[in-house]
Amino acid sequence: MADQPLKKVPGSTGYTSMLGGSAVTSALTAEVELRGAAAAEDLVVAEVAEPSEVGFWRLAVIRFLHHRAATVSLVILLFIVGSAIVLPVFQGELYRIQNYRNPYTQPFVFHARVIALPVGLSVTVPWSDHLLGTDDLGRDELARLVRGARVSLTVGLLAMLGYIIIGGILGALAGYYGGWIDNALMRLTDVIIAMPFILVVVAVTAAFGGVSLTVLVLVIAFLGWFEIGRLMRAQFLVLRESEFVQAARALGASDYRIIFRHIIPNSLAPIIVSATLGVSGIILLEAALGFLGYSIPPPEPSWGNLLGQYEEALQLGKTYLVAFPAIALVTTALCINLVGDGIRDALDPRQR
Amino acid sequence: MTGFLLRRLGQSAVVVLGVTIITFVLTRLLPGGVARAILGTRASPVSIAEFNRDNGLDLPTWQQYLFYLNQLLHGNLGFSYRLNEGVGTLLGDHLPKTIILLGASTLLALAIAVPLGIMQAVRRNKVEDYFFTTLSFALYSMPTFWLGLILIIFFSVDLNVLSPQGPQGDISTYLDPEQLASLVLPVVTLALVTIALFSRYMRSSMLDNLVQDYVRTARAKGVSNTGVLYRHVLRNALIPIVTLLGLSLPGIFSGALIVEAIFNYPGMGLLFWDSARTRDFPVLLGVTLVVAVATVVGNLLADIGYAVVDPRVRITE
Repeated sequence: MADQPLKKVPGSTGYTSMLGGSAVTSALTAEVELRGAAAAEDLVVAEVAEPSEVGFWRLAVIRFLHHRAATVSLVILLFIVGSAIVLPVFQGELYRIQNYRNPYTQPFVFHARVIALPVGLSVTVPWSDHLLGTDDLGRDELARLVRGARVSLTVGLLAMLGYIIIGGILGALAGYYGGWIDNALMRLTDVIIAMPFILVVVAVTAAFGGVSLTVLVLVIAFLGWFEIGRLMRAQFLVLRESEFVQAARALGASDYRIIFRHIIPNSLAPIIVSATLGVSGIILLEAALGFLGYSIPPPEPSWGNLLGQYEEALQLGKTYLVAFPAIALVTTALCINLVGDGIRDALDPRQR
Repeated sequence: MTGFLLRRLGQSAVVVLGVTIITFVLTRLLPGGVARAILGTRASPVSIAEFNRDNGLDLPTWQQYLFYLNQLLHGNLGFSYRLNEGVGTLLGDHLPKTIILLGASTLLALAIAVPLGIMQAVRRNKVEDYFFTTLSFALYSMPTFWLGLILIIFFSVDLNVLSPQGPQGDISTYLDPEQLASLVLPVVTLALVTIALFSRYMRSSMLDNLVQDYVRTARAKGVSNTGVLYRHVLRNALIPIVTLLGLSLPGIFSGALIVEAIFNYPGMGLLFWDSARTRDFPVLLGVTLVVAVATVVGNLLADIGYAVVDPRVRITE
């Protein structure tokens, strides 16, 4: 223990990434109190097997897996992301192939189809040409939904990457150097927060002659980074004054080394939580923009502009055209939020 | 305290100025410009030049901005070419309606979310807690426009009990039973999302405070359960909610913009959408400015409120 002082991670109960024997025991005691006997059994087993490796992140994974809703959500999310990646490969251009002969095919209509097997036999199976029906132009709704998932998820992930890059750098600068840099950056943050987002999107839409994926991601990233930025700044403000950073500085570590080796690894927990929850926020935002007609233009589908056709669909009683994208959207957002909640609990058990 | 107030006021002024600069420059980037939007696509270059000269649109951008700012300081928010009316007058008509929508839904949300959060914290990890946690997660993951649509489909189309359209009359008629009834759906839609957010914060704020040392001390002194809960924990747990109110203002505002679009509620949001379609810049700038000022003032009030209710903040100042 002497050569591995117990670092306090702000915003958590303070496990280090490398715990000595006695620290594991005290961490386990805390764990037993928090989780009850069931969790304790697993943890005891883990301790007996490899006592020195029950680190912060491993404990976090164990705690996450004990959060049932979060684990189930993660599985559903992986399924959605998986179909968004895999299905369009097989469907190709199906999402934009129109068929004026059968618009508004009902979903889940099956007919018998004979499939010839290679050995000369054949089987009859229930088959559906358009499992989720077709839209007003006879386009396959399933293909559009999956293609839309690609767009929505891409916007969510790329914009979040933008948040982390912009917010992370600016927040770190403000928190680490303080003084006038901090002041200027915080005023900039205030300006960004006060900006009505929609106006900027509309203005940029006109200036670029329409929204593209790149424009949408850039606009969202430039207007939404402030939450990550503020969190990062707060983390840096606290950690800058902490004893282990002062020790590193006393040992002559450079700013670069202090920031990347000492402060950033210890400031990750709240950033990860906020980033996870932020992705669902962006996906909902894209949907709202699409609903109002300011997202990626047709024929490229996104969950937002699929939902934007609600008026026509509802008037004609074609509720399924609204229901499927809405279910996909709400399920995805809900799962991301639950996973984020699970990560929060896992990284910061005190918050429960 | 005075120094703190002055500094915060100065910061707020800087922020508002920053917002006007950014939005003004952004709208000037639009191709085509105001003249085309007003005079139509077949207007001759001569008449466009004449229009630009008459309205000061041929000056350099920074001069146009200074002119705008000067007018602003004299209380002139600009003139809507399309609606042929002053922006100030237009905002005067539309803003109160939005404020009513915002105020009613926020009050409703607070009235439900605070007791709900307390209950969830007290009955932590019991059936009720799980139920409402699930419900608020579902609500929070639902886009506002979708929630509004579901409510319209259910209450207006299926049950036919509530109007799918917000009140259309003058603000003085809002107390008529009919108008009041048509106010229900927009307010409830906006409130539901806010409730989900607020009750989560209330719950975790209560939980944070329930494990504090002062709670143990109070219990050790023999204070009753309800006494500890309401006289000690609740008062401290409400402090973050004050900040949350200020910070969530822009979010609630953009929620209101969308709710107004769904329910055809003639507030600032609807004015904004119409202006966006026709590139009515003065109105866009006016609405932007109002939202920005409201946000900044909200944050300012939250900070001051925080300092008033939490003595610890004043010590560090």
